[in-house]
Amino acid sequence: MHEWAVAEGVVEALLRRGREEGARRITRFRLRLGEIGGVEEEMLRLALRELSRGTILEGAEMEVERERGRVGCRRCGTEWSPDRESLEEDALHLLPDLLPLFLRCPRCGSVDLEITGGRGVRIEWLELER
Amino acid sequence: MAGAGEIDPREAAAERRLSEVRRILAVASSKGGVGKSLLSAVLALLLSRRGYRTGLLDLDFHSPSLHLILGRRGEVREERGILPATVHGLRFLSVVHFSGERPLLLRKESISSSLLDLLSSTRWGELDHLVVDMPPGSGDELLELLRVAGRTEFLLVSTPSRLCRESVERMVRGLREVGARVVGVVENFSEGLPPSWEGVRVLGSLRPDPEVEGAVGRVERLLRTSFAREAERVLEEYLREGNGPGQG
Repeated sequence: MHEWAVAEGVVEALLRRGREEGARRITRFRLRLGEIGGVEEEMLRLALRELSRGTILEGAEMEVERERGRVGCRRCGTEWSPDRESLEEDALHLLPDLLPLFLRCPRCGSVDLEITGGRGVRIEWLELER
Repeated sequence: MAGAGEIDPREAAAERRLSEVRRILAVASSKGGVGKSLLSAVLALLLSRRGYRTGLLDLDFHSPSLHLILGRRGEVREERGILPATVHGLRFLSVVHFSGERPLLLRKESISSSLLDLLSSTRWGELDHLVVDMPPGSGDELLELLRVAGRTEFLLVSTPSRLCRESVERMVRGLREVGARVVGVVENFSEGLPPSWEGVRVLGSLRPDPEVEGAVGRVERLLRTSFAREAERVLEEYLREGNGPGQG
């Protein structure tokens, strides 16, 4: 149920931006869902629908772009997309940046790793009516 | 289309989650090994015993130790976010709930981002006090905490050593420059002389207490040490500073 926490953040951030822009309604927005952090799209949609009820966000169209997880090794420069299984660790679901504790570079074995793509959730843009 | 640039929804979420917490006290120091964790744990336990709803957050990602002082870590649950563990009446959260016993070789980017994940996902619920055990120094964790919770109050821990005092004084100035509230300084391993600090309130001085080491992991024993008794006076001063209801 981590999706609820993410949805709360998304709703709060969108409503804030809407208020700052003097919006009457938010009509459309686009999210980028990274694979690392394991947010399920359907669960997220459900939570967003529920949480936006009665707000200027209600009924807004949500576009989603999914982004494959990418990890880079700072020691040897290898970059790869970890397989799904290695990202299923519960801790990574909640704290994806702890990934270096659970993975090793497939080439040199280093744990000095960085996430280079597909991490967490970002709001790319929103459209609104004033 | 509105607004330029992407939005990280965690920032808004963190501010919202922390809005249910009445006071946030960060126990910090420019140096390590000065007793921040012990003082954080004891202050949180004392607050809880006085009936305050209290949370305890270990933000020392490289060297978490509150779970050792408390004697257990308890279990966090995932339910519409992270529900902190309940340990000795405290709502408790630490990186060890996620890392287990793994070595914590982490760069600062990973720590800043994990900290934001923790603050945005954790459902502390209504709390009177959240005590935060900070890592040594005035780096990313401190700045990130201030960014999402600018009202955080800082209690700085020093020792009588000039090496420590000088850098803690510098930290006080730095915190004030960024608009943070410094409630005061506590001098640990004090030699009993009343310490005087220019421009900062001294909330207490804690003498070396040989009983403390043996009380690590045994909360009842810890609360009977002279360290805890002196920490109680620090707590009184902190509570007197508060202006919320029920804080006299």
